Amino acid sequence: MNNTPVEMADILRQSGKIYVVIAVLVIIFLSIAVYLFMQDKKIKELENKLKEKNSSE
Amino acid sequence: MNSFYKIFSVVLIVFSIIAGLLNNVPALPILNESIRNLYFHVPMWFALIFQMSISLFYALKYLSNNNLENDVISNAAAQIGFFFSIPGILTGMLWAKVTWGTFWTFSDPKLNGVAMAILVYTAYFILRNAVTDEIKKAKLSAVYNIFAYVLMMVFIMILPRLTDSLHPGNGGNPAFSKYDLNSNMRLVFYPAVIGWILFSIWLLELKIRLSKLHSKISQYE
Repeated sequence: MNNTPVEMADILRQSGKIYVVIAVLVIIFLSIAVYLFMQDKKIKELENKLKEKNSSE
Repeated sequence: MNSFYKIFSVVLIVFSIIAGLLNNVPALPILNESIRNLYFHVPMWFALIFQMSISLFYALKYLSNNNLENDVISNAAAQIGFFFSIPGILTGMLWAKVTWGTFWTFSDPKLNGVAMAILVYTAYFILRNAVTDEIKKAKLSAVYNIFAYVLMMVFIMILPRLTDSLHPGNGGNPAFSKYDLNSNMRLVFYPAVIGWILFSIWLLELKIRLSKLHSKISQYE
């Protein structure tokens, strides 16, 4: 088994194009994360609004 | 402080994407580069089991103090955990297609177990929807939660280990120990698991806060 070379993505790495894939994946994940942070903030605002309403009554 | 773990989870997952595609992995036949799926497919199931454990914990907590807030958390955790089964199964099916040659095989106990566990938790949500009385709903679903958790553990952790399985680490299949020994892969795998578990906690937090907002607003109506 050790004598037969196993095919790996050597060429992809040699040409450097794998970095493009990594960049794409990171961008997609980060944009989802930023979106989630924005939703988090919106929920926070709602919570604060509700708190104010409760304290003013 | 509160959002620190969220940023940390994003950092860990981004690290797992970058290092997961760049680091050196053992060159194994059949698996080839798809061995890197370990960093992305397996954390989904770790996140699921983690959330189901949280769900069980709060179900037990509800049974001991009858505080409905615990029921809200227990239900939310079960939903988040259930959600992770979707990417878990889809990525697993894709991986199975290229390595085992089929999207789904009933000869693998882990796949059958996962299908059963999903049905068991589907029944949990149906049970919840079937009961309108809040207290009855909380009590029934907390008791059922214990049953569901034990069944899930038997189906996906115990039974696959007792028989032959295509999944590594089960039924005397040596593959997992083979790459488990590879410290290079561990260096990415563990951060990925922690990152996704933290990410699932973040989703859980949002879900709990939303349902609290819901119940508060419904008080005004």
